[in-house]
Amino acid sequence: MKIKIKLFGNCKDIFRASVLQINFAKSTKVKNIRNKLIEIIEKKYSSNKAYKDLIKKSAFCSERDEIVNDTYVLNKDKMISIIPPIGGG
Amino acid sequence: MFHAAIIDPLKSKKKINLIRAEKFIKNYDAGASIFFVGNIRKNNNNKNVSGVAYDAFDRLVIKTFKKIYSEGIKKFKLKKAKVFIEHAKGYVPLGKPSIIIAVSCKHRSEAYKLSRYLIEQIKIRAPIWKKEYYKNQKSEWLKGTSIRIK
Repeated sequence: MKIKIKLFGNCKDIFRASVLQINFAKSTKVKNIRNKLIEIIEKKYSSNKAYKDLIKKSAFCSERDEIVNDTYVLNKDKMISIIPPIGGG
Repeated sequence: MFHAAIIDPLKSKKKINLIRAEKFIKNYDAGASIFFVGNIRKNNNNKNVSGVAYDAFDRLVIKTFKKIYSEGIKKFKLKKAKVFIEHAKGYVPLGKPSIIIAVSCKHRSEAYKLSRYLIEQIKIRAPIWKKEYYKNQKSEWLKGTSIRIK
């Protein structure tokens, strides 16, 4: 199953993309997507703590524009957005 | 009445300005109008700022603005308030506005309260991100507030 992850703010710079696509064997939870992103950072940046902390502090937003927690399940090809800590104005 | 927009130079030539805000909130039932303008200032955390680039999750920002507006109207029991909110996306140079919040209400106390409520809530709830650019050519994303739910 392919999950597209829309990136914003600092996450765009970290992953050098606006959208990431990750394959999962079956339906997956937000928790697994978060862990997968941390895994990518560990490989790419030799465990950069600041980047990993950013992912840990980030929220996720469903296709219905609702902030969801780590137990939210994605069960078919879907898009989810990662929302790093915010600060507009 | 409510208006909200993200002003993105990649999508339109429109710029944030007070004239549109003033026209929108004009209200003969209102005795008070408040204009809040957030500008790019030259110093932050002892660094010389040359500009700020904003990223935004447009759809969710507008949804959040609407929600905050509705909450404010309910919280302060307002009937004829008008609210105009525009936020910049992309690069905003030093001294230029990044956000305008214009409010008209029957009385000044409620206009002040609503305006303050809107900006304080936007700061901690709207999915907008700032990357500061400095005069020494460096840049960095600001830390921000986590909206993760557990």
